[in-house]
Amino acid sequence: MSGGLVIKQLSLSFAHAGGLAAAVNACDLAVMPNEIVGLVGESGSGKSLTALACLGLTPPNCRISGSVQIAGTEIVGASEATLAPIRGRKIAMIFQNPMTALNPFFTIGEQMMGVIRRHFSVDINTARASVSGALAQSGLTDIALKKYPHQMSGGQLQRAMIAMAIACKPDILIADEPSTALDVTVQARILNLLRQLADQGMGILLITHDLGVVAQVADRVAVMYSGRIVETGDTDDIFSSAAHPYTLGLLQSSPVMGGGRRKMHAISGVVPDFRYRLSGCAFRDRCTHMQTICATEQVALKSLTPAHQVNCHFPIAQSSTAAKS
Amino acid sequence: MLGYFFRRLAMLALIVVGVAIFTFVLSRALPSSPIEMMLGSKPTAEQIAQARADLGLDRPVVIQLGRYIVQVAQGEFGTSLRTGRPVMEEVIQRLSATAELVSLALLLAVALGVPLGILSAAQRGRWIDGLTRMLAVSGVAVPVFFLGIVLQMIFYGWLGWLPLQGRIDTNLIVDFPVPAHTGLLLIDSALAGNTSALKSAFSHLVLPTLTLMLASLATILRATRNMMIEVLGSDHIRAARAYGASRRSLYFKLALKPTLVPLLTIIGLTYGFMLGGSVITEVLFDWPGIGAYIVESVVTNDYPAVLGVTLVISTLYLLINLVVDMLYFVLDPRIHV
Repeated sequence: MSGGLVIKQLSLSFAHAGGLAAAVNACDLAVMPNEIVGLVGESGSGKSLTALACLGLTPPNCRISGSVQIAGTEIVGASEATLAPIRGRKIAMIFQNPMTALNPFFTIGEQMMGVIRRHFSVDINTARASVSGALAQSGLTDIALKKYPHQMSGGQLQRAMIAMAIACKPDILIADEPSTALDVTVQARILNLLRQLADQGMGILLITHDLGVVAQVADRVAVMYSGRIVETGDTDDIFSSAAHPYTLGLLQSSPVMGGGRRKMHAISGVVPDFRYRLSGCAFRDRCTHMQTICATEQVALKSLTPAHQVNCHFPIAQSSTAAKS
Repeated sequence: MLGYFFRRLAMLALIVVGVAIFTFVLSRALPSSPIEMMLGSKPTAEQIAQARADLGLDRPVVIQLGRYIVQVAQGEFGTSLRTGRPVMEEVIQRLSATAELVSLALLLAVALGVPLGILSAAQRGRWIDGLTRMLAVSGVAVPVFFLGIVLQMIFYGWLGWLPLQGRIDTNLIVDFPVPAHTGLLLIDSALAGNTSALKSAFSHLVLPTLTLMLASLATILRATRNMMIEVLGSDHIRAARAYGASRRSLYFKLALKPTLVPLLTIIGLTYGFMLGGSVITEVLFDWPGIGAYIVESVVTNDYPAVLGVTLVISTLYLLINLVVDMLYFVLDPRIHV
């Protein structure tokens, strides 16, 4: 278990007037070298917060329990002194919004050089070489070095952000919606780059709400709903035989090429406010299979196959999923 | 950028002309005239008429204004009715005294206020933040005259460490005159190698500088703290932390530059304001500065002096603002014309 990112029973909660509200609940997730794990869910399901917890960057008012280990080092509760050498070096993150995640007062070159020289005691030329290499990998030239963030387009910024994240060749890369703001051609290039990095040994946690992206590059998928992992399995299993009603709903909500001009399927209802967590299964109010036990008892992840687990009292039988899709 | 600079300069000239016209008209609209002051208590009608003719006050205001503008354009601000000396000479002398005091006070306020502001932002909500908050609130709340008097009581009255008022020991300056190069006594006496004058000038500066500094220190400290906290909450700072940035590089580099840029405006405005508005401190410490000069001139209807001072101070204020705006170009990469 050395090289990867291992999250065990991670819970993140916030104190509010009515008590403690869990934003992430007993989350188990692992990302090993060479693989891309897709973390899928609606906005507000706790994906980004989980990612921040992996870097020890949860907001100060957030209570955290459980464990996050990167290459054997515990992140939860670690001091800034422990975290600083890990951040950017062992684990790096591509942030959701590159427009605001880069400092407008420094050039891309200055910011990237800062990252490199923070983690390696190398001379300027060596550092510059690795910066150029990272830029080239993400499809930018050295011209970007001298540019300030406001002088670049959204796509260029996203790539600069990626270059910054991979500049120190981290073991684990968290990519939070890395392609959401981009047009499809750039998106494809970035996904190819992620695949390439994983093939070279990086472990990548790809956070997205776009199932198409997941289907293209992820090896495994974890579906998050209202702070809980509701289903996890190999990408093929999830897409061909989704067992959780929520996963199925998500799949059916995606537009289908050549599907004609018909009304899109939508899961009725909205993600419940995490401050007023329902008893039992959080999805029950929106679920078509709901029964009385769903309101009273929370299930743990059940294994359907060794690699495919689901958090549901009444997982959809494999045959019926196949018939629907 | 150069084009912008010259456009701003032209605009500045226009504003100065406007200020000249405005102050001139105001001075003529005043009910009292300088004649009474010049001629004593019981002048005859002939004397008054003579003085009015000498000063050109019998002409229409428009003609007077025209003559004034022409004079000013030639660098001629007239002579003070009160002292009989050229206004420009007096203004420069008084202004350099104020500049010495105010620049030192502001320099200190920035040198203390910015680091303390950063510290308070970094220690937000802790005891040190509370302490600087108390310092800032009292700095704004305590009246300048009160603070000055308390300082005088302690350091002159009780301890006897520092002189009560004035700019330098008068006996000393009579025995060993310091040639004026810059008008700043500290620099002039240092240039002349006159250590006793330097010591005296310095010890005279301490109390008025401290008095003047406290209010601007409070403003700068709080502004730095609040802007720093805002910047620290931004996405790019969280991202920098995610890439392993140390606290030192966060506070003194990555978050400092975005904080400094808006802070510059505050510092510039404070400087401009202090140059003309440090009257109380100057009077309290008998500092021969421009603020006290303005008050004396206004009270005695010395209108050439009032007009001259107003023009010089407003031009300076505008120039400081221009410098601040040009600094924006250097510091903020997002601004380009």
